[in-house]
Amino acid sequence: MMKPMLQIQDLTKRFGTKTAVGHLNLTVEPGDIYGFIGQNGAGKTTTIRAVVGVMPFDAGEIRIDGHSVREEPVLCKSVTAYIPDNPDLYEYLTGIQYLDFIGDIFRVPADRRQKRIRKYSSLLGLTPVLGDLISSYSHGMKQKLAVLSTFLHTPKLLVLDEPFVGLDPEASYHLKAMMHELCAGGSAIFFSTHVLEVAEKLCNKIAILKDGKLIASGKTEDVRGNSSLEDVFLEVVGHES
Amino acid sequence: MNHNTLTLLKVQMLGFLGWNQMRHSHVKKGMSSFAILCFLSLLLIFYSVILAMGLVLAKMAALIAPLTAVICVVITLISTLQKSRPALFTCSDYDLVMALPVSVRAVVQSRLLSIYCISFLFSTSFFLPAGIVCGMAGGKDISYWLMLIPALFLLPLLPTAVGAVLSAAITAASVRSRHKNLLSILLGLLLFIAIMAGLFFFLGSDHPGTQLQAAAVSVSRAAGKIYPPAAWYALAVNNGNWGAYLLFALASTGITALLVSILTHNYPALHAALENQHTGRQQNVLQAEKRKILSPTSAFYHKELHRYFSCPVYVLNTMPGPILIVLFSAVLLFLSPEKVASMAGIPIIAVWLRRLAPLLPSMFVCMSCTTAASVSLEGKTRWITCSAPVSQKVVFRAKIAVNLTILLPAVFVSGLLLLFGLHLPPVQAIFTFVLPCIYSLFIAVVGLLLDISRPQFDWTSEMVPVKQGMPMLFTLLIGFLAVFPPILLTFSFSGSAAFIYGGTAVLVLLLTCLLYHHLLRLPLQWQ
Repeated sequence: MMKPMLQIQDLTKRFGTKTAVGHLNLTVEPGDIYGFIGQNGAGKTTTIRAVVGVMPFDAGEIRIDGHSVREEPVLCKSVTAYIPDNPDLYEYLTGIQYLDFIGDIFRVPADRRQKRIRKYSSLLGLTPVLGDLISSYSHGMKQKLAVLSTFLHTPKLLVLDEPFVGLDPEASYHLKAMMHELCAGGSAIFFSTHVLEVAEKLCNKIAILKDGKLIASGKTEDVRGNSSLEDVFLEVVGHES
Repeated sequence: MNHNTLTLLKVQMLGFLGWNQMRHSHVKKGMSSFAILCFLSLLLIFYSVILAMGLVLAKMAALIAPLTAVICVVITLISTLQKSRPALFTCSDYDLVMALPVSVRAVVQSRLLSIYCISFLFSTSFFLPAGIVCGMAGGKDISYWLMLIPALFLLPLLPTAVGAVLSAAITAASVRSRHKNLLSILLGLLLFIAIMAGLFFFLGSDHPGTQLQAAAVSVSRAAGKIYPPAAWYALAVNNGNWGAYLLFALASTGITALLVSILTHNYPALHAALENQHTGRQQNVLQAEKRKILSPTSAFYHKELHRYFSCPVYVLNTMPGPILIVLFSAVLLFLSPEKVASMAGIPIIAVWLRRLAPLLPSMFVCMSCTTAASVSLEGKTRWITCSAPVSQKVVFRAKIAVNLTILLPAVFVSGLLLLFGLHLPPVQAIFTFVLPCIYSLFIAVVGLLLDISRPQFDWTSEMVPVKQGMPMLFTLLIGFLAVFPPILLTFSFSGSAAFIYGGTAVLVLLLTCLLYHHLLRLPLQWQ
């Protein structure tokens, strides 16, 4: 049996007296493109931040490629790539300096790094601005640079928080292709989105979160049934009170 | 000044030292900063009273007004030079504020007023106590007191405006350069050195070899030359001359209004020019041979160095220490300790300069800590460090290494200069290098420990963590407290200096190791 790429067991995170995420269980297998959807404040970003080791959690366990995020954080991070919902990058570096920084941190060999930077920067239309300071980039360009940096080191798990916000249609198209290509190599992707159409078309698995609790999860076709994902989503989370 | 200016000012002041968070959050993060602010004000009040009483006892009460006025002007000018760029030009809420239905004048005024308010606090802490001592000791009449109170508000006006315009001029001069931050830092440092050299020239050149009394007179004369409004104010309060006072008030308000108008007129254009980054140097950036592959530690170190030099206020806040060490040591290379003692009118200084040689650079070293703001400055980009597959040791070492990179070259240069300038015996010479090196490491670890314990990530201007952050203020205080005991011991037991230095070195090194060990046990998550 294949080892899960991401395993969340009984995850609980509280902010003061408020439980942001409660007893969440979720498994992402190699090759999965797993969509994580929910309303604003449902706990998606909190879960994602706990997964990538940016935020400590109160109870439960998160394992990436079989390793505990709590006990072996550096090992887990070395096989994970993450883009937050608003990728604030080091504005005082140029695009290429930032990519080299990420390459150095993830110990990407020079030739592989060079090849990937050329390939993806050309694909995302970033090549002409790589020598400029990031502070001169638009939001979309920063988003593209963040995307490029995550594909430098072929992560086993790619975690994205609202990756399509700010991207132009062409870049969105390329990102989807890159995601498919990565998963075809045995990696897994776990991402949150509000764009239900994207989730429906792109993801083979979906999880719906409401008030920090998982209310539906599984294969996209099973979650959706005969309706559209939008109908299902509105039915399970949209008619509260 | 209109309602909009005051509304904008109110919002800025709510963010000052985390006061609003202190009121509305269970985390009392502003409390310590407030305590430090009170401590600094009390320190200024103490110095002010001591200076004024000294001058009264020396029957030189007439010098109190010009001396305190010029000191306040220098404090305000230096403080404004450091705060203007982040407050006016590199603040992250510029777009938000400029999109509001308020005039550019209101925006500029509110930002200058926020700088003015802080300067006013420090300026008043120094100016008012001395003024009260002068008035009471001299049995001054009602006109003195009527002049003193408005002067509290008038005095910081002009240096604030001049500082802001100078800062804008530096920004404008550097804006066309690809390395605008570096140029801005260089110009800022040059200005700082010019102010220091100017003060040294005015304080030292007029009356070589004379006593403290004559030095005070020369300072008073120099005050008039450097800053005429201070001389007009002194003339007004000492002689009850309302004409001179009117001149002082008109110069303070009129020139300030003119400078603020000039600044307001050019503000949007300057801001636009700052944001217009250079492009077009693309063709070679992808050439692999021009780029180095680094270890994670080196990568973080280079990133931290870029961070440091990208932020002029960060550099200008931490560079004066190393610059002052080198300048001070260079002065001692060309002027013998006896000459310096003669200029100051205190012969014993010559002996103490030699005896305290290892501790003088250490004192300056403890004034310069880059690590005390380095964690807070990660701000919204901290997710990159947090999600990077490196241990916190790597990140901490990189931050400490930057502090050492800034300090150690200055320590070695000043050590050499002191060695030749003071003709130090071997043991003194060794400690002149060793002690400042140990203190450099100590202050870097202390700053990092304090910043990681109480980081402030939600700033809109880099000035907040760099100049107003509690870790920065506490680090300076701890640095001062760490150097003070060996100085006191050296004064008390002059025959055992080598033992005192040796003991200090061992103790400080031991303390540094303990603190570093504690630092590594702190959690990596920076929430």
